[in-house]
Amino acid sequence: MRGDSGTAEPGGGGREVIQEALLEMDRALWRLSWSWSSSLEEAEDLCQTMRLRVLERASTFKGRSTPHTWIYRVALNAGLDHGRARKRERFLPLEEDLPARDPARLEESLDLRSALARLPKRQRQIITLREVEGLTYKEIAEVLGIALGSVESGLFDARRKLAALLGVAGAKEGRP
Amino acid sequence: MKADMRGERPRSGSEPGEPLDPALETLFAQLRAGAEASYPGPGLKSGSSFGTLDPGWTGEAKRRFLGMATAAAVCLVLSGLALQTVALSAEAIFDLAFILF
Repeated sequence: MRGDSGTAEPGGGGREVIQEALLEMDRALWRLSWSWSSSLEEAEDLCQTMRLRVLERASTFKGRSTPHTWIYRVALNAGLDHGRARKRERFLPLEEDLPARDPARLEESLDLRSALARLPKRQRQIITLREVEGLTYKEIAEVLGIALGSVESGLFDARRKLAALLGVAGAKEGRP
Repeated sequence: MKADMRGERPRSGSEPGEPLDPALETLFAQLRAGAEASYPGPGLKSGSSFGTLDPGWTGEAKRRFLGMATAAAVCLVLSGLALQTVALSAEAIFDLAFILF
């Protein structure tokens, strides 16, 4: 993967640290998986892929970043790899896959996930970390290893594209 | 890193110069609600394409298991050889005793 490891941590306790942090972040990985999937089954597969990838690479964590930042980074890259493998052409989930009760809400949520899938991968990462995970710009920049300005412009572009794809007002002109 | 990177998602406060369209905000809120409602809990789902694979069955755990299995197989072979050697030795001793006495 691209840049998953950090600097050396004395004693090589990275694996234990990551395992512990992974438990804390399981819901976060699920939210990422859910946001990037078209069905419950796909979300489960994706979440599992993320967990396994994190565990497989846990020994390479050296403490350069926080465990949570590192896990986000590995999970997002696993998500992109998974998406490439699945070639999500179909975006028509079965009704029984949908968890909530309000069909209209689910339909809108699905539309959003479908629109997210159509975003360029960097924009998809940025807007998911911001709007689903609630990370600050600085945290997003740390997770993705990019400049703060790139986060801002990526977020702006992502929102504009999403608004256009979903047909909602919000495709404002001009950059921040 | 902030606590909001650890599972429970707090609502994001807007950052300067960040007007999120209300319609998009609503859609994202629904997306998060769907994710929370469908969260299967930590661990694996039996219906996933990974079957019942234990997340611990990776890397180090796998190496440890294979190492133990290899060691056990080697021990088995060595003990078999040792037993055979003992048996042959005993047989030789009996033969020698038979010749001598």
